[in-house]
Amino acid sequence: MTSISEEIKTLESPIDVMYLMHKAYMIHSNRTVSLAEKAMSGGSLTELQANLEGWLKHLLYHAQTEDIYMTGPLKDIEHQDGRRPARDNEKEHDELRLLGGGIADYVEKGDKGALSEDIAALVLSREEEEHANLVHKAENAERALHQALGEARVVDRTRRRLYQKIVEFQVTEFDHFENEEAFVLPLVKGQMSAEQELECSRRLLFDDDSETTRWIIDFIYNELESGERELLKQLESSFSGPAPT
Amino acid sequence: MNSVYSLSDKQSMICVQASLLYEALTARLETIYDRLVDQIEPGGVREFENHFNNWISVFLFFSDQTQRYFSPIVKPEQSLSLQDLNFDEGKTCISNLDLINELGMDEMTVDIIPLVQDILNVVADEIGKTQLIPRTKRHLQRGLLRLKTKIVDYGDVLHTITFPLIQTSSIESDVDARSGFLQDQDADEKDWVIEWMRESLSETGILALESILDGISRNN
Repeated sequence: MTSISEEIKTLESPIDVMYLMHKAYMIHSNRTVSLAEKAMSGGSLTELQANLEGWLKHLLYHAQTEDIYMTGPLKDIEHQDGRRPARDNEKEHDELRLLGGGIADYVEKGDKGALSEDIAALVLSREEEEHANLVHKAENAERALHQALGEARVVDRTRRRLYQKIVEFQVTEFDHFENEEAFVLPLVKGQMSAEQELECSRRLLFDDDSETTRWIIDFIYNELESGERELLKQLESSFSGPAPT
Repeated sequence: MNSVYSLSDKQSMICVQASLLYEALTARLETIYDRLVDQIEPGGVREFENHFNNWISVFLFFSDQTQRYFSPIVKPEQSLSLQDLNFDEGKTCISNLDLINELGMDEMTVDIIPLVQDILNVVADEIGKTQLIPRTKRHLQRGLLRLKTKIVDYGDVLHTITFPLIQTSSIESDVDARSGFLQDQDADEKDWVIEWMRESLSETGILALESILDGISRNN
């Protein structure tokens, strides 16, 4: 698997740009986890939220583009253990979307996020009661719990759980990168022509539907070491797209 | 040695003992987590398993003891439901007892068991391997973090809702409350939990523990 601490020195084929991208995303997710850890002891949420939004935006685009231009066209195979790399890859993307969406929703709830989550779980567990009545009572229970625990504990609880969710997301992300590199990239190299690989890589690095088409590749450049940036520049020069800035 | 906690306040004695045991459990879990994250577990999976299994034994003891000592207090004969709670318009009058019953907080240790099992499942998949590969480490880290979060949430409830309730209740068995909470009456070595606490608590925690034990032995 791609390692943050080891420099990537060669790209054997265009799709190997994935190693550079994974490395950049891993560095960014480590930074976000670190901010979430600091937030538990009173650190700022503003920088954390900005990093989190960037992380989710990149991963969602990355997953969507892979589904369409990378695993979509592949003919899947089935390993002895039942693994089907292309379809499993898409399922892992769905899991990332679900977890990522969950974190975004949780952050939107603000400092009472954990309590709201606890009370929502309580409502779900009491299906037999009339819903409107239950929600009203649950809101009162949430208020009572808030009073009993006190503001500081409620905030601590929310941030603790946010940190947990972010680490869970990172673990799922790293597992996914590992699986993709081990099982999907060999399929891509075996089935796609050099031109197809090149176009797939370009799609992963440039957002043709955005006014700022370079938002992905510029982010990747910023996260990499100088030798790795040179590799990316060489690959970029082989695209017939906007020139590097 | 001067007692940190007054033994004349018999209602708080059980809470102090429970609190110290809780503190030892969270401290040891933190150590297990840190050693995993920092990769300073030289023995790999086996070493992790040993530390974690010891932690589980103490946690199960803690869970049994809180059920045994606290349940009679926090579980009244007539169980409440959400419908039974009285609410003034616009403001709540839910008591600690209502909250504990309604939110199922007295059974929170039960909710922790599946998280422990998840970690054991990860360990079971690694049987025979001596080194922790990064993927396994990540999964253990995730499991431990879920467990830590749940335990700390539980501690909040214990300290802010359950203990105040117990401190205003009358405990039936004074002797048990004074001396029995930290002792395993079913074990040959009744003080095995106390020994484990001595290895897990901070210096301040150990001082508090010794003070409590000293007070108990002088009062019995």
